[in-house]
Amino acid sequence: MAQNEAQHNFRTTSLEKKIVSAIDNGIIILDSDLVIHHYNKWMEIHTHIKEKDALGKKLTELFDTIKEKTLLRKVKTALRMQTPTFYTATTSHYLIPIKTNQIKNSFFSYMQQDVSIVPFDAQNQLVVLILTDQTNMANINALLNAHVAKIKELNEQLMREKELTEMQHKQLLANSRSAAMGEMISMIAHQWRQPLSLITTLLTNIKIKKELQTLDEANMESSLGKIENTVKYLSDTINDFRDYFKPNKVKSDLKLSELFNKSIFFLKDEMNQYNIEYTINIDKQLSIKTYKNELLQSIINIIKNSIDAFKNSDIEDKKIEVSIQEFTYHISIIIEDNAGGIDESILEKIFEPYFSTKNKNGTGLGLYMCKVIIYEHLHGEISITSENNGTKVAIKLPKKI
Amino acid sequence: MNNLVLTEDEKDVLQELMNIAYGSATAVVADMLEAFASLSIPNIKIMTTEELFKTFAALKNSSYFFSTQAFSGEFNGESAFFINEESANNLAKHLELESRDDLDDAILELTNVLTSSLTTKLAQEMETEVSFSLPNILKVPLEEIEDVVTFQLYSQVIVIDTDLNFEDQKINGKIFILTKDESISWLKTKLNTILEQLL
Ligand SMILES: Nc1ncnc2c1ncn2[C@@H]1O[C@H](COP(=O)(O)OP(=O)(O)O)[C@@H](O)[C@H]1O
Ligand SMILES: [Mg+2]
Repeated sequence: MAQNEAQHNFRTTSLEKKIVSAIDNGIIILDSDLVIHHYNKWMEIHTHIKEKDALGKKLTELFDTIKEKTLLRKVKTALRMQTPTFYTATTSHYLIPIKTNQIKNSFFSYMQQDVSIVPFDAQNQLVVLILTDQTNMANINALLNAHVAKIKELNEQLMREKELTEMQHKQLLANSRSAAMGEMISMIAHQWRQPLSLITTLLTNIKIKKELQTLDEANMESSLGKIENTVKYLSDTINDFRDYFKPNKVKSDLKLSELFNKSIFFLKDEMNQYNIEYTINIDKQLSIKTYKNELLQSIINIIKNSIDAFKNSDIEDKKIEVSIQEFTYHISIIIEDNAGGIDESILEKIFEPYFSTKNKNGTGLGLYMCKVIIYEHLHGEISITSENNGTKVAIKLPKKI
Repeated sequence: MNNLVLTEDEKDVLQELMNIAYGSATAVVADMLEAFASLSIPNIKIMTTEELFKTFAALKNSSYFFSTQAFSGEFNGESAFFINEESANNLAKHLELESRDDLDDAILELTNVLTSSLTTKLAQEMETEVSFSLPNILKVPLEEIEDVVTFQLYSQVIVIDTDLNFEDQKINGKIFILTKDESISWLKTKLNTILEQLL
């Protein structure tokens, strides 16, 4: 019979026979009608079917899950082309249903198989099916895919969160800026109170003199001159403020003594009002290269906080002391007050945005903005400590950025 | 590298060989699909990987299935087969396939048939043998194909591109046979031996 002939062909040497039974692959020889001509040891073990029971039967008879049409097509193509055709584990999963009971390959309950259909004997129209167990690989693949999906998801989440914090950060900075603007307006109001009342006085005088018909040319001249000067002063302060409150794009050489004079210029009215003594200890020539307006805003914020702290206190000798020291690569600025200090319990929170103990009078953005400016723009450090009923702000800045 | 450029003569010989190869491939594919199939006369080009990506990019206006298969031997490389969704669906209908996995399997079969018939014949003519790895469907969207590492291994590729048509079936696909530098120089030597025999 053809079947015996094929077996004879196949079992030419005992070496090949040994290899075929020892090999860690399933090996089946089929003819073009899918009838089994050989069934190796591996197949016997994995399918619990003995070769003697398989021989002469159609493969699709033994395993009714096999799609006959597809297998026939692949066998015919292999024979026709005389080159292998395949089933791959990734798309077909398995040809021969073999249950797996492994815990480690938990994704699949059937062994995942790559199957090569190799033309074997053209004359007798025989092909060899070589089955390779790919469950491990498929399992690793499935695991990997699950992980990749998870990573993708996490990544997307991270991106969304990053976007959100970036947005929040921007929003905060915008809020800080408008808070700074608000403070600036209140400072301008302070600055303007005196000159405005001077103008009012001068105008009232002119009116009265005109009523009394005692207004003469010289009178008029001198009053108008004074008004003109005062108006100029008003517009100068506006310009000053405007200049100092827009962020610098370029860094410049900056004399620190001048910077502090400028800050005090904006704040001196209020300091006088509350009887605060201000001293500064600085080398007049000391200068650093940095963003001028950003630093100025931070200094004003800090001194303003000290002034605020004095407002509700009955301390006798109110003092704000500034001292500046130079080191090789950096400078240190210490701003100290004796306005009562900061309670230990809130010290941690004062840099947080919107943290304020001043109810409606505070925005809670001042120190937050100082921190952002000093760390992110000026590449420096800021810390605040409180002891002996006073507050000490320490700033460290590189001499050059 | 200049010595990797095919001369006009070499290209001619390769074209001749490909013509023989695609003739037999057509017959096998027709047999497999039990329908009249034709392959267009293969078009041979040597291009850089960037140019190849541009060619791929031109294919991506409609959604594609994309599969690859490596072959090894003295003449080695990889084939890339594109078939658009409509064609794939027609193929599924024609073969009476039931599931997505069955369709993937059929596409792989087509890839295998095309790759092996084209390259086996070519190898035979050049008196060498090739062996084939299992084909696989790339589940990578075409936009990301430039990131596929295997393609970055190719600095220069011989692109043998042919269209597969089943006129009444409305199934068409495009196959590229890609080989890299060392295979190109091997191929040149072989082509020249054939050329000398012709003279
Ligand atoms: N020099 C200081 N003395 C006492 N408390 C201070 C001082 N500086 C800051 N603080 C505390 O830190 C809080 C936050 O300050 P800040 O961020 O500038 O916001 P705001 O001034 O709008 O309240 C203040 O409300 C205050 O409680
Ligand atoms: Mg403040």
